[in-house]
Amino acid sequence: MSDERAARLDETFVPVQSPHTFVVELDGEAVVLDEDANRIHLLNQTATLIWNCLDGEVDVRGLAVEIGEVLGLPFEQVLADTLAVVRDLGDEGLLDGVTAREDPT
Amino acid sequence: MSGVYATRSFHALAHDFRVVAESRDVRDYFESVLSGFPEADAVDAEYELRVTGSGEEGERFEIVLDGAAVVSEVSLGVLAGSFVHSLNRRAISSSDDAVVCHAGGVELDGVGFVFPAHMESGKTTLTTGLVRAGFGYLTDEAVAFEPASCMIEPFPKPLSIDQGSQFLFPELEPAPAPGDEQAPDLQWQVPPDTIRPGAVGRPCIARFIVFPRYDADAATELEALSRASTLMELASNTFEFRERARHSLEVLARVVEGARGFRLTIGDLHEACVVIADLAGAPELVRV
Repeated sequence: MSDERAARLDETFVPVQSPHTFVVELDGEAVVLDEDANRIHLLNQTATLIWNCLDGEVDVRGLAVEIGEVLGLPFEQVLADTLAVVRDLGDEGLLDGVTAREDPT
Repeated sequence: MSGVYATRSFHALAHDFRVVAESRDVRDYFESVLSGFPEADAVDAEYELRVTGSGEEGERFEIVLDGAAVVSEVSLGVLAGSFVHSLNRRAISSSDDAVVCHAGGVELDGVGFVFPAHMESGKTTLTTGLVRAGFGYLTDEAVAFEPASCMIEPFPKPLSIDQGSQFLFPELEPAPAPGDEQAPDLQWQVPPDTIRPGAVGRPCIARFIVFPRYDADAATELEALSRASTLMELASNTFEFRERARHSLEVLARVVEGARGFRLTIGDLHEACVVIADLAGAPELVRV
């Protein structure tokens, strides 16, 4: 599979965590080590919830349905937030098959 | 020629060493500067202090290890400071398994307080103030976490007090080194027992991780951090994190799980010490 750009991801994309990540979770917030780039990232509770669902089985739309049901929030809002988080994770190089955004420097 | 006056052996994390000098006064001076370090069981490095140069060029003082100059300065007092910084680097890099953070640290009744920060953030000043108040001294430079237990091993180097903070501790001005007229202005090297006898603390678990930042124009203020934010900041203050990132992150996460994290803006040293003493449940230590 060729790598995709995070900005092009849509609700049909099936996200999966990069195999080159190592995660510790503290009080519902994840710290993700990208062992390829040797960088660490802090995920807030929402991003951590989404991150924990990225098993490569469900597309973004399906994730939004599941999360919306758990949190009792409107689907459209959850879909927009989920897609935004997935794109951010892709930009940071934390998703398998998604090209990290290059630093402007 | 090898000197004949050797200091006792010192244990600095995983770096065990002694210093050999050609005069008793110089040996005694280094023995005093390094007096906070515990005794080592054996020695893996013997530093030799040499005096080189003479005449118009003047004397230079060198510390040599295995035939190579480690530091070289024009006065003994400045040399001691440079040597302490060299020891820091060697002690940190010699700690194979320990995860070592750039931080000050104190201890009270077995409870560890860690102050991770980059240079010029006020960690030595805060540490010195707390030790003066009665906290046990762990280090002003490198907090080493043993990976299995997460215990902090004290690294009680002399406190390196920069010129800008010296007015807060006038009683700690060191005596001049042999041959010097005064202690170096730029930075004092203060053995912990100079602050008060028995100042060195014991191994402990970190219960409070406080990131200090000195701002003379700001109010002293404590802000709670989430554990994940604490872990991020602690990682960013960890020596050689990139070289063994997963191991370091695993150990630091266990450290943070048992601790509370804060950011401390320091506008005034006494107020900052009051804040930490309150966290320790020992406000009486710093109340006037």
